[in-house]
Parts: sequence; structure tokens; C-alpha cells
Amino acid sequence: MATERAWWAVLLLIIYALIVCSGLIVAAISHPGTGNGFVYELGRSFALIGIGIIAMQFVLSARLHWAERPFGLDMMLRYHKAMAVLAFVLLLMHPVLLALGGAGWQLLTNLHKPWNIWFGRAALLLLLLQVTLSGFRQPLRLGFERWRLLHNQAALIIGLAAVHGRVTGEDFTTFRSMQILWLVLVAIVVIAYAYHKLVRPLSLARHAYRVTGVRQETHNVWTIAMEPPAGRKRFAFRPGQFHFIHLRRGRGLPGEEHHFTISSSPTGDTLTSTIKESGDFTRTISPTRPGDVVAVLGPYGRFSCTYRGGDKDLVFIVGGIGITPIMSMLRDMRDTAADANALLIDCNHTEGDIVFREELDQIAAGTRPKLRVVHVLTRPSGSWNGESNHIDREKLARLMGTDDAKRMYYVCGPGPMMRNVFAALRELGVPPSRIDYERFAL
Amino acid sequence: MERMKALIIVVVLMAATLLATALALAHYRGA
Repeated sequence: MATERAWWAVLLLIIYALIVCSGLIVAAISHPGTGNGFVYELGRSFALIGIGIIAMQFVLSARLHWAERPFGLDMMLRYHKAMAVLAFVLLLMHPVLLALGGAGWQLLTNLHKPWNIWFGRAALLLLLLQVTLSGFRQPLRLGFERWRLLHNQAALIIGLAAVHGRVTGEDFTTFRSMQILWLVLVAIVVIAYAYHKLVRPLSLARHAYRVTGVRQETHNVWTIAMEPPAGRKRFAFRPGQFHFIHLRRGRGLPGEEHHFTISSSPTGDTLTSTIKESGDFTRTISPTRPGDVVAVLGPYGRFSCTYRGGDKDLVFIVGGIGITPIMSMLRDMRDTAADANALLIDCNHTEGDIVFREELDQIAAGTRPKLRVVHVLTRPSGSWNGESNHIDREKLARLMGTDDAKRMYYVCGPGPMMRNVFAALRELGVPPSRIDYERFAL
Repeated sequence: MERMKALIIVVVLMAATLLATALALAHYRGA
């Protein structure tokens, strides 16, 4: 299974590289000796590759299940970010190398250039804007919804660049093969974009789920339960995966799409997400009511102990709402009577912040899985006689006992807590291959 | 942790592949 996935990943990467390089390959076959010199040709090559990368960005971000499966959507979106920077550098070098290669610096400095050159300049400026807004969203204090709205305009870049290349590039004005290739790349973008932004949302809305229950877990954590429409089955998922949900509640409540971990077990019919009030949108979860309509897209992600399978010794280290994917795994282990030995180290600020406390105790009272739960509080009350303070090497070593070289570690929580845990595990000699983790931010 | 390492390797390899292709073909066509 793992080997099959690895081969699928390699095949996808080869197809990706071939599509990105397709402009170069076709250009080289149709027009080998241009006599323009190396530097000038390098400038053109960078443009062809840069635009190939940009075109594929629309495929990478379209949340395609078959493409995401071997990597996980989180990694795919990180790759999308890294490739955006590479494309930007290549496309920035494009006019510089053309200028150095003989076109002259007026290519960059002259304002009296034809419209097709200005299309290229505008595309580059818009790309710079997109890379800056995405790379520095938090320092710029740009809210997620506003950023997403701006990021959707990235389609303009490919439009401007496609026209610029088609009208300006010697290869495109001369060779039929390059013109066809250009059309194919544009078609890939249009299909991926239209599917992601239009066709699939419409289909999800048509087969929307219904909210069947809203439950308060703690003072600021809520669970919403959802069921598919009559006659349709809930999608299959692995415990620990996440989905995108788009609530349409009316009543003046925001209808935005957000991703949340699935907290229920795959063994049941109901799909639940357990959500902490932590932002503008999540603060409006509590007024959600049974009967509200919700478009659900999933599952995504690779944070699940079921992907490895067969591990009997598991340690879950979670902080706050990071319990949700682990809860799904523990519920699944309970429902399937898994023969496993698990330790859950659950870190919270106060006792009132502990989510699923009773259910965790119930699972711990059973024998399959054998579960030990340790709550660690950073701001305990005077009456608390359990573990307190932050996680460090000493605490982990004491709670976990000796590492037996077979144990798998799953970590999920806020960034600083996860960094602490990684450092402590490293000091205890746990190799990275036995640590899996999930960050909620995509 | 392994997945992050794999991602970094893939990004570096892909960047190297793309740059090498661009260099090789620019050399071939520009000659």
C-alpha cells in the first residue's frame, strides 16, 4: 500500500515536471538553433518554465483528491507556496536576461512600450503582489477571507501572461506546435479553476449536508454534527483527516468556507467537527442550528495512525483543540476494539478547557485500546493535583517511560507547544521517522 | 517530520530539474 502510494507520488511528480517543461521541450524541437545567444535564450526559457509553474499552481490548489492522496493537502499547499516563489524568481529574471542578452535595458526602463510588453509587466507586478500578500499575510494583518478574495484574482496573472507570451514570444507567433501547446496550458488552467471555483461548489451545494446537532463541549468549544442528504452516503474518511465545510445558515451569520478536523469516528454515520471559538468566523459557530445547510468537501490530509497500520504502541501529545484528530483516532480504535497501547498527553490551560474529558475517561476504562490519559495544565487552579506547566523533556520522559524503538508519536497543537514537544522528543532520541504531526493552518 | 523532509527534497529536486532543463535547452537553442 505504501509502495503503491510512493509510485503514484513519483508518477505525479514526473507528469508535473513534464507539463512545466512542456513549453521548453516543444520550443526546442520546433526551433532549435535560434542564434539569439545563450543568455537571451535562458531568459526565454525562464519565462516558459515560470509560466508552466504558474499554470500548474491552479491544479495544485484545486484540492483534487487523486492528486492530493499520496502527499496530503497540507504538503501540497506548501509545495504550491514554494513553487510560487521559484516561478516569481524565474519570471523576474526573464526580462533581465533578455536585456542582458541583447534586448537592451530599455526593455525594463522604457515606458513607451507596446501594450503586449505592458501585459507582461503587469503580470509580473501582480505576481509580486500575490507572493508578498501570501508570504507575509500575518505580518500584514490580512484576514484569511480578505486574502482569499485577493488570491482568487491570481487568475488575472495567467490571463495577462498568456496574452503577453502569445503575442510577444517569437516561438508562439511562428510555430503552430507552440500555439497548440499554449492553448493546452490555458485550457488546463481554465478547467482546474472552473472546476474548483464553480462546478464543484455548485455540485456540493446541490448535495448539501444538514446540521443535525450542535453541542457545547466547553466554554468556547462546540461540536456540530452533520448528515448527508437522504439517499446519499457520507464520504469515507480515515480518523484524523479534515474536511472543508461551508455553512449556509442565513440569519445574518457569515457563510464562509473553512477547514476543520473531523472529530467523529469513521465507523459511525454522522460526521462531526469540534470547533474552538478562535476567530471572527469560529465565534459564530454557537448560533448554528439543526437543519442548517452545510456543503462538505472531504476528506483531506494524511495525519492518521491508520496510514501506517499495525502500530501497537502509540503516544499522542496534544494541545488544546489539537485533540480533535486524536479523538477521531481514539474513537475509531474504541469502535474497532483495536489491540493497541496508547498514551494521551493532553495539554490545556485550565480544567475548564479540557475537551472530551468524560469520553476519554470512558475509553480509558476499557481494555481495547489500552489507553492512559494524562492531563497537563499550564494554569491549574489550586485544587488541581495532576500534571502542570509546559511539556519538556523531563516531563515527557517521566510520563512515557523508556522509548522502545517501535512507538509512534502523534503531535497536534499550537505552534510553540509543538516546537517544545519536537525539541523534547529529539533530546530523548526519538527519530523524526517515528513522529507524525499536523498543523491546522494550511 | 518525514513528510516535511520529503517535501523539502521534492522542492529542491524539482527546482534543480527545472533550472537544469532551462540551462540545457538555452545552451542548445542559443548555440
